[in-house]
Amino acid sequence: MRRNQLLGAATALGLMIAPFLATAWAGTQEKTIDKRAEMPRGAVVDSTKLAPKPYEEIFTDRGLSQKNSDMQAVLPQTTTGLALVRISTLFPYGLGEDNLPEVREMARDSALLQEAPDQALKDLQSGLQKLPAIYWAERQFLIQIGARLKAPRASVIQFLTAEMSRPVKISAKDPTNLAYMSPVVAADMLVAIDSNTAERDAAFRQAVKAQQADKDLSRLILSRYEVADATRAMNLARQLELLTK
Amino acid sequence: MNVWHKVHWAVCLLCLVVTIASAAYAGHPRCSLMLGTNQKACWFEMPNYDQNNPNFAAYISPSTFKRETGPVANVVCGVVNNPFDQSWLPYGPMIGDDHSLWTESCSYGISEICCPTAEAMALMGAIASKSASTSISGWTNRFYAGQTPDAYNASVGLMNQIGPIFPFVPDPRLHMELTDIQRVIDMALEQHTMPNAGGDEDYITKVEKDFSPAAIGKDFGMGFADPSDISNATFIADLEAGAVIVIALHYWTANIKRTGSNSSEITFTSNTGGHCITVRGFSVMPISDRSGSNVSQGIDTIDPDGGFYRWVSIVKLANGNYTRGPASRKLTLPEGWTSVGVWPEGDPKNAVNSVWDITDKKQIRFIDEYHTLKVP
Repeated sequence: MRRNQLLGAATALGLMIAPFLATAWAGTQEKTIDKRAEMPRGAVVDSTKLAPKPYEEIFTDRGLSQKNSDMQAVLPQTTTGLALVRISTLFPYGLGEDNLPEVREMARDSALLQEAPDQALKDLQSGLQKLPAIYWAERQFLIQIGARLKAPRASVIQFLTAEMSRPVKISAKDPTNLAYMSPVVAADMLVAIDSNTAERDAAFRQAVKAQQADKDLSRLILSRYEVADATRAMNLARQLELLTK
Repeated sequence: MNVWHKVHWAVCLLCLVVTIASAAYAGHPRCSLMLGTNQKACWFEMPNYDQNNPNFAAYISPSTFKRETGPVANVVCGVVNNPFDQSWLPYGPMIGDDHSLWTESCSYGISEICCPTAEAMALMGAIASKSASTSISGWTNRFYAGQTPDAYNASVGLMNQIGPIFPFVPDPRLHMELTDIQRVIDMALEQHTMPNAGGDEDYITKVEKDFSPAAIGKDFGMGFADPSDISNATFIADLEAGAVIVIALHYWTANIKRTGSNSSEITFTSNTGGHCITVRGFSVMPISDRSGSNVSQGIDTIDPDGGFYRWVSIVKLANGNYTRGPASRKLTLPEGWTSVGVWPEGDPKNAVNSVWDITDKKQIRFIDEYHTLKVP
């Protein structure tokens, strides 16, 4: 009886620890794989990278001449407008941390925008009216730049509401084209900066009404409202008959 | 059974249903309830952190990890004895930020703390989504509370040995508080990050036992082994399974060798440096006729450089022989990969969407590291 009890206990213990042993073994295997796949690294600060490089040289070296021309064509030729040209042309090379001239250029231009936020926001609004659809990723980045400007709050909210309301074309041929996420990015930024429930509700109401022709898109925009206020988002969806498929 | 008993049982039943529902939902991203069956958007709630927050310049990195691979300039924009050379922003705050040494005509490099910044955001997302019954202890608990790690014996906090160099300043871009700065520094210490040369990016996979029940941390995801397997579907599957994700991108230079009048071979050589990105969520949207026959998948990411959101859809390159008219190209990826995800770059007109978009010496960023943490 005692032997049976011990055997039973040993079997039960074995069954209990088997998954852990298997996990531990699998973990060891993965660590081996991880080690093999580990990349060589060490971003040595290269003095040539720290050397100043004029913007013209940067965009020429990057093969961004056409993009620079396209941005020049839509953004005003003011100090802040030109800063926005450089920022949008160098996106996303100006992000990242490899001590590239692009990164320093973008930092300088961002500072220029913050020195004159009202003008920067006006230039941005004007530029985004005409920005070609192909530059949807740039639009999504510029929306976030605008949302962070220290311009009057009402102007920033108006800017974001307009971007949430802007009609977007969903590319049936190209599944990698995420232009339809631009109003969603604007909605994310609105939720981040505006905690006034009435104001936020009015902005979403305006945007969703403007996008109502496309129910999928309207619901996608409202899904960001859900993050901040699920009840009001659902109420709005119900009122605008967006819960009916 | 009287009315009170019935109410009591109804309440108990409701509690049970809520508990089961919470348990099933816990440890998973939040998904919109108003989207249809063929449309989905899910995301982890996590903060946006900015690796360029000026407050990183106020605190000294401990000498234990002062192993920079290249010297930090001692003279920055004419200021001798750069006060920030041993801080987490070794060239000081960026132009426009408080205490910056940069000028209109003079600017320097930023810090290399993208990976701890990315991992700190991801870990905060994992903690925010955990089940109420899952407990946190050890290092992760101190991280979450924004405490200085005991192991490093910091006297005041935020690893300042002689400082801080300047008092805490308001965040000019996001809403990072003192605890947020501390969390990124804690993560940087564990990763052995060098402020001017980066570090590892997989510490989230090593904190499994700080959770009870234990979390699952994996390099290369929940169900795959190496970069060849990374696609939009991989991200979506791991996020839906409840895992937060941090990826690393590295630059590779394409080398095109002509092998005939119309034929060539493409190989790649590795470059130094890289960048870490946090993956926050995804969106699946039916396109074309809305019947779901053609679906667009978007991956929702946060770049630690500025804490910007970026939606991407990953295009893959695969080994093989390609022909277009009379031209032929043979593509061989590095490291024995059979395929790899290409991180989209800035100019849509020069984007690498296929083997034919690759030019000689073009720098391409591959998604070559992938780390997940699933917290119950």
